[in-house]
Amino acid sequence: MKKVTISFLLLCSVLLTGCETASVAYKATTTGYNLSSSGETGVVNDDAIVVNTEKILYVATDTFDLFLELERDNEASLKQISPQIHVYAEKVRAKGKQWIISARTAKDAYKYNRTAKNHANLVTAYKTLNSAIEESKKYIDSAKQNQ
Amino acid sequence: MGNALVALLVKYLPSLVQGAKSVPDILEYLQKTREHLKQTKEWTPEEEAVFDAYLEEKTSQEHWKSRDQKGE
Repeated sequence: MKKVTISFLLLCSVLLTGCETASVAYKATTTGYNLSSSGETGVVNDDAIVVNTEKILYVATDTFDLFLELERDNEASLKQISPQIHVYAEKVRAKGKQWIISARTAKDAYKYNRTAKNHANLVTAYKTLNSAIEESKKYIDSAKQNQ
Repeated sequence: MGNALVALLVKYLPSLVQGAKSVPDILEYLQKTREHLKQTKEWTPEEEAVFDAYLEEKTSQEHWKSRDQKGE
C-alpha cells in the first residue's frame, strides 16, 4: 500500500510538472500581455493569452481527469497520508468543470470582442484555472513531506 | 525537462505499475500535454466544438462524481 501511495505521489509530481510549462510559457511570452494598440479606445490586442488559454483548457481537463482517477483508485491509502488530498480532490470534482468552462467563456468573449474589460476577465479566469493546477501540485508535494 | 521526466518514469516504472493507473495511460497523458503546448494558432470554430465534446466526455467519467455528498 505504501509503495502504491509513493508511486502515486511521484507520478502526480511528474505529471503536474508538465502543467507548469503552460503557466511558465504564459509568463514568458505575455509580460504586459504582449499588448498592442489598434488606436481604438478600450481595445486590447493580446493574441497570446487566447492561445495560452486554449492550451491550458486541454491541460487542465487532462490533469484534473487523471488526478481524480488516481485519487479515486488510491483513495484509502492517500487519506492516511493526508486527508487534504481527498478534500482537494472533492473540490476539483465540485468546481473543476466550472473553472474550465469559465475560462473558456471568458476566452471566447475576449476572442470575439477584444475590449479591455473582456481582456481583464480572461486574465482573471486564466489565473484561476492555472492556480487550480498549481494547487493540485502543492497538495501532492505537502503529502510527500508528511510521509 | 522532458528527458528528466522520462528518466523518472523509467526509474520508478516497476512501482508505478503496481495498483495505480497503467503506465501507457500516463505516457499518453504526457504526450498529449506536450502536443497541446505546441499550439500556436487560435482554435477554429470546429476545434472549439471538439474541445467542448472532449470536456463533456472527460467530466462524465465516474471518478469525477463525488461520493462525499449526502444521499450518495
